[in-house]
Amino acid sequence: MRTFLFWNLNGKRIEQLVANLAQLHDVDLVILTECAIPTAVMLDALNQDASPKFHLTEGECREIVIYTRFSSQFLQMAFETSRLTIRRMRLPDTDEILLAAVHHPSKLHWRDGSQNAECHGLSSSIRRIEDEEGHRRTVLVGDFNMNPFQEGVVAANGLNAVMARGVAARRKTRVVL
Amino acid sequence: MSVRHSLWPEDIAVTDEVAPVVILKEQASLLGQRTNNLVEARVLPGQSHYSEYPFVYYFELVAPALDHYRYRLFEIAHGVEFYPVRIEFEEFATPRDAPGEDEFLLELAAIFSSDRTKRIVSSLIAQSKA
Repeated sequence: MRTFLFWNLNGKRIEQLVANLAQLHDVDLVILTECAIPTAVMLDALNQDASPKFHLTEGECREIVIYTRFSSQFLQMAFETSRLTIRRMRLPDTDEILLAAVHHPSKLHWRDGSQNAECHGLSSSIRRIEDEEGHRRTVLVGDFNMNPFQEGVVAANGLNAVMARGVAARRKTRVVL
Repeated sequence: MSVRHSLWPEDIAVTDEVAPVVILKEQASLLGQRTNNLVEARVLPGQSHYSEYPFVYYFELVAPALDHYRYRLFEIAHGVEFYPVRIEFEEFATPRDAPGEDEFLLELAAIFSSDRTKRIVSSLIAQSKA
């Protein structure tokens, strides 16, 4: 099982905290947003005691940076916007998964309606990639800047989020209009 | 009941207006020629953020050699009438409204020649050649 760490750093230079957390939890993928830490500095911190070493993965998404402890050939870019990255994670001897990481604008800049619409768009983008890849094994992480019960998060045509893994695992949904 | 004669005017379906999406598709088709098809572009219908602009289209860069990696460069939205058309591009601090076709073409030219667009396209070309 792989361990993911997602953190919105809010522009703070806290590379040592990130590194300590990654080491403490034996993290395989460090996913950061609002990261102002230069790559070399972040790698120095992450790789103090890490084995195998972390390295930066390629990506055009401005808001998200991803460091992994495995080769970037196993985490290929599939689809990106300035705020979303969807990667194919194809590790040896495991089923492929899609890793989606997102950073939505804060409520200072977006109304609830725009955030909800963005969730619908995000859902469509993920579904489109899933259809192309032929599976629905997607891990979505991010800073949504939304209430967990906001319409775009819970709506069936949004992210269709539920409260617990057990509920999601039933794979049965009932839409109440 | 007898069929009445049509009340619709003869010229109801005649228009010389060009929809913004047609302009986008024309421009999308031209990118591949500039990049030896290492980076192409395509236009897709999208999700509306604004009730006043229900028609949304995404403009995406595609790198066929990178397992068809796609980058959504910008999006446009308009109402039943083509203009004003709203343009959302990451380099614009706020969405811009183009009141007519000429202004829309100017905004597109600005997007295509922006440093951000050139950097993404050149990066995708370099990775495609690797």
